[in-house]
Amino acid sequence: MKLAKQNLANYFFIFCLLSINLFSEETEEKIWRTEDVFQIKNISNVDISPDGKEVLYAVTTPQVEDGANHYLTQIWRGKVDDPKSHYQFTTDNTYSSSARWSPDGKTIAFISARTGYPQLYLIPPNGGEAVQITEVPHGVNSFRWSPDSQKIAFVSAVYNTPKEKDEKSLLCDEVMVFPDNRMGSSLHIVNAKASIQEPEVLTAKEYFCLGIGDFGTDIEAFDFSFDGKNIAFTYTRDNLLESQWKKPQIAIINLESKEIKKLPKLAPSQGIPKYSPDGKFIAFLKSDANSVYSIEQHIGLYSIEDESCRVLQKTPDEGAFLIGPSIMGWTEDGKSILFMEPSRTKYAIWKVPVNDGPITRFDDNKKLYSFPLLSYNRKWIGLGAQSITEAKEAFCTPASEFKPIQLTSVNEHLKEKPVAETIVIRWKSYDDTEIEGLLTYPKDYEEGKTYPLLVNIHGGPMSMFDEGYLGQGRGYPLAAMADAGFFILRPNPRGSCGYGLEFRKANHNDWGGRDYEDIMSGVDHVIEKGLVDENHMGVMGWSYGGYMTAWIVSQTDRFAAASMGAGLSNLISLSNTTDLRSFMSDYLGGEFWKDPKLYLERSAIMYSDKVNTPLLIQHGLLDDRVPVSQSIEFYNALHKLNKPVTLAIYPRSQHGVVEPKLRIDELQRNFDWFVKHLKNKD
Amino acid sequence: MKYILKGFILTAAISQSIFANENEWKPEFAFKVNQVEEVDVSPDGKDVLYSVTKAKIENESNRYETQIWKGKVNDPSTHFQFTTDNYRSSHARWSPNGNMIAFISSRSGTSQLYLISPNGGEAFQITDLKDGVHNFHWSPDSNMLAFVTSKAIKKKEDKDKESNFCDDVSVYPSKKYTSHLYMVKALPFIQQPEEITKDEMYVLNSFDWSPDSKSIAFNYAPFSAPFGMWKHSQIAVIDIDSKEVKHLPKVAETQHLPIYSPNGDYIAFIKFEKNSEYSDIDPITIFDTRSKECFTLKDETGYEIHAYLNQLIGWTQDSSSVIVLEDKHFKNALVSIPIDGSSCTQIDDGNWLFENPLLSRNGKYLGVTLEALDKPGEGFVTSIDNFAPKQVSHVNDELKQFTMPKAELITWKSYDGTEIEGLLIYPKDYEEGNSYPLLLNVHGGPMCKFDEAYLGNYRFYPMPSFSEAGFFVLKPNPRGSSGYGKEYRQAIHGDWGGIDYQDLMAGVDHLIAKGLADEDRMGVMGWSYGGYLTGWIITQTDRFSAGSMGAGVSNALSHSLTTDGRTYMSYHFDGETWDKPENYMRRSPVRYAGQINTPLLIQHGRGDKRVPFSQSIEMYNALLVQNKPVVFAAYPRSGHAVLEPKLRKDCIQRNFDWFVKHVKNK
Repeated sequence: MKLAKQNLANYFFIFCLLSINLFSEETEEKIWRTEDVFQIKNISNVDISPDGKEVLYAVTTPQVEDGANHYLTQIWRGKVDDPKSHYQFTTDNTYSSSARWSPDGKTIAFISARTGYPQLYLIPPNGGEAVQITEVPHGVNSFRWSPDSQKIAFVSAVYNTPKEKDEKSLLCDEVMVFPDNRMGSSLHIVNAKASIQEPEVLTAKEYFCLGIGDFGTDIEAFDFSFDGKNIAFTYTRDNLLESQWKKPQIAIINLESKEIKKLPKLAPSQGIPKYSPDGKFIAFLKSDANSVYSIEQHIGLYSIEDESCRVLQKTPDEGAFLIGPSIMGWTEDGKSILFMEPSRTKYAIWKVPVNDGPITRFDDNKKLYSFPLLSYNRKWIGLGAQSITEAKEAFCTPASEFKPIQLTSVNEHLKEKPVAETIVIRWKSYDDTEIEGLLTYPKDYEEGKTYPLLVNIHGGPMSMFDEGYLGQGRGYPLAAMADAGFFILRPNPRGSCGYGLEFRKANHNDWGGRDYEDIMSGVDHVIEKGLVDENHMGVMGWSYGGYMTAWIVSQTDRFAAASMGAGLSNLISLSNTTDLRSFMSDYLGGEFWKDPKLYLERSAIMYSDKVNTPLLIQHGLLDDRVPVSQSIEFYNALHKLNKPVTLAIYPRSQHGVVEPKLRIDELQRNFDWFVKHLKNKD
Repeated sequence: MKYILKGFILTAAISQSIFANENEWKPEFAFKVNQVEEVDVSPDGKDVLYSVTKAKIENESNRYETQIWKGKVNDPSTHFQFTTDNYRSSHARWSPNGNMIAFISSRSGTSQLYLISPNGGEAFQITDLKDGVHNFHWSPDSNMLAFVTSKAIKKKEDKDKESNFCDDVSVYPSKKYTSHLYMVKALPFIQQPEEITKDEMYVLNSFDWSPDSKSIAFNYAPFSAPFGMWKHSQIAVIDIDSKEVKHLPKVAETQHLPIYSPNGDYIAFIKFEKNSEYSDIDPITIFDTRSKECFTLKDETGYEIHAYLNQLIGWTQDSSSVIVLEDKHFKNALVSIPIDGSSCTQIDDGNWLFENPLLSRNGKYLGVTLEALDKPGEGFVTSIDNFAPKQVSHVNDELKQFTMPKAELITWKSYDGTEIEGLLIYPKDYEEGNSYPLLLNVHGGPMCKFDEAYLGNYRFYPMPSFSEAGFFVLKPNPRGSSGYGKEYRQAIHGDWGGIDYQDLMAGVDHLIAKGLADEDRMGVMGWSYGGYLTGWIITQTDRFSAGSMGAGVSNALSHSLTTDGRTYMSYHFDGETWDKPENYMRRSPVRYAGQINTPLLIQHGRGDKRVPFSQSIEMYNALLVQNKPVVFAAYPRSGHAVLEPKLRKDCIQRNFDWFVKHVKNK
């Protein structure tokens, strides 16, 4: 109720702004163009020094001038209270990131790919260049300083070669043979000394140690005990990606005896251990993993003394997915766990007391905060903050109380080019469930007129549209589309994060059902309000959004054009080709071979002959999550039926198109597609 | 690797006496078999050209080399390697007047046309085209060479400097290329070829000159053809001077491979009907250039020619009959079909397996590769009027030291009483009264067959080695196979894994009943459709101790829309997937993967377009998630077959080891 009121206020406020905008002449330079996405710099890894006076962070800048076609990430440094003091701290022209102050504040460690694979480097804060300290064959995944600042633990892939290769063997190494458990991942430790050393390998090959996960976690999945004598780490029993979600467990290794002790198995999935300041407890992330990945995430607490585990009370959304860290760490007083999760169109940082007292919200809910990083002494949190109209900058706050301080202004130049206005709206779906979404207005909006509409559908489906900067637009150049005169509706239908567990589970056994209705009722809503011209509507989305786009055009002819990115067209073949092997069977209530009915019923490919909407299909050639064969199937079906379809396949790309020159093609192709089919349509 | 090197150095350099002690056939000996193709006889019948392909695997080499050889028909001692570029030179053809030889070579990086004098001297390159030359024909007057090549369509807007689009992105439908007929003069220097056909047509692969050298008959698809271009293939004749195009009457959905009669009165071609796909063949049609009418020849032999293999060979000298190569059980037959409707005659003596028949332009001589179960392929020449093949090449004499296993054709009754034929290869140590492990091998296609090719010549499964290791191998031609007539071929329509499965199992039962096979030690293996049936068989029965599924279809539903042969699945399964999903699901091995208890080896080329690699991923994951015993070997740089020597060696050896481990040593 409170939120609803606030939202209404936003609504009116934005209308005022809009009417003011009408009187100002827009110059050509102020119109967002597709390629302006490369003006945005990205901030990550904000680490505050132990004394709270200095900050390290990484800045990623797209390199597209003079034929360049990559991203440059470098570490910056400066004083917390003096933005003018900030300067680029590393200068290798490749990749340097993840800078962490040593607990004593005397050294900085970071990861750089300047020699090829990412390796660990040390650099003194008071001057002098960096020194490489590891040379591991498969690179350093993530690291953590020991509390005494003498050692660094890290995770690195290891290749377990078979005993001895038979010299007489006629078999060829280039043939990939599965199951393949040769590639493992071990915990290593190295002295924080300024020279290349042979690290000590701590864990044997039967432990596949997690560093930073494929998605979901952005912090180390291991932690030193407060006395530096033990490391708690997360491991799986095989190198399958899915196991990292569904089957991780925690063990503690004694650094002296090398003895490994496993934590009691409280749940099928437990990971990301965090020692309490007094060393008596380990907090960790726990999930029953009895359904899609780890849909319900809770905080587990392990008592080292009595070797027992218990679960803390539930947070409102019961866990996170597809965003930054969920379990950030302990408060300095050892009384609470800081836990971040989606909350409607933002993220909330919750303070969860270990004594089962009331959960309180830590952040101010004013901006979209992301990737919080708790300093080693638990006094500071570095994080990113952005809003729909402001690009991300680095902020920090004391960990005791939320008092955000802006540290950087790397995207100041974007203020010259304001993005179109966006509001949060709500509507009733056909079964009266309230659905929320973001509605972006066309730049030239005049009250009383109708405009073409683009409906954008997010991936996941366990994800959500958030109040991130509009200029960022992944896959779709939203700011440029709004400036070209489109309304953009971004709904969070059933299955989305941020609205509680029940809502998140509401699309189980029902892909293309109620979620489809939630989207279509949102479209009806903006038409009824007289905003949208219903003859000029388009729909677009990536991954699950691509599935839904294909599904929509197979069910209705209301849209005049569609763009399906890395989408699922045939749920049966997807289920056995995706790297998340139980994804489909978890969502659809069982393997297709038990009963293919629902798989067939909810696959767009089964309605290929019903599609009449011109469809653009985009896909990364190397996608393991949703293999490109999904797009090939749908393209071939539509092409064979003489339906209007175009397929664009992006080389060197996986589940997202990242490389700048491919990304610009992806964005521009979508822009041109909808301008051609909607704006220039009769 | 050392081991292989040793083997090959011995073979190449040292005397036969070493092999006398060690004449056991090793799986990798497949690379000892040299391939002879394209035997072209000179117009006077005295000289012969042919290409020889050898595997190059010594000194870390990992490739095949094809070179042209030349010699006298009557004197094997005169034969010598005629081209020497270390890459690929092939497709040598005498000019009709016999004064010149044209061939294709990739010595410059792409396949280009070359001329060389038969009397000595090096070759001259005469084309330099981006997409190269892959097939050509001399004009009958020996003045011109015609060929088909493609070229990129350049659009003005493509080169817009302001464009944000990236050339690296593959966009479909792709109409970036045209394909046209061109010709160059038979002169020894690089020329800009003359374009013969125009833009609205996309010229496909086959064409022929009229005897007067004034016209060319060719097949094409309309440039706007939406899908599976070659299925829209039609035939037209273009006048070389005026460029006037005359289209042959459309008597079928697909018409291709036009060949003029020597007197110029007729054009013979192959047709097949819409939806008949690859299995409905009544195909030889004659266009009468005078009446402008078409008539179809009756072929009462009961066998068939492959519409998609170029087995319409040509005409008899007197223009009275066309000559075709037909599948006939485990062999094939050269058949002459008179165009006046009188009876067909078989030209050959029935003792051979023919490959790559090449009729000389004047219709007098036939150059061909002939082989038999115990004889590797060599080039032969015969006259058409009097079939008496004379061996011209001797590139596989070294293989004579190896004795091929005993193999015989057997027949059995399937469960419905239909007689099925198969080739049975005996274990080397066979003794009557004993039973032995059995490997069932299933062929691809499905409209294909096992034949009596040299047993040492295999792609995936080393037959002589299996025999030496003590296995029986049964290679049946179940229903759906070619070579047994139309009804037999079409019997699996809508019934993949049905009646064909029964035919195979009846063969296995037959061998068990005869006391030959040990029913507790049996394996099954096959590639492509054979891979499909292998996957299918082990979902239906636990009788086999191991399976090897190569490039097999596991999910007919997804395969239908990912294969490049985009229409054959909807033909075989009686409807599109969206209309009849159950037809596809009920015969897909992946759906029944949970019933599998047989350890399965899966092999697949990563770049396979016919049966996409994703088919094996589906099968592998379905088995893995249900904790079934499965090993999956993925071959890089490989399409629908694994060809590259060191990968192919892995493929063969892995199969051998697999069945020795799981079947023989069970």
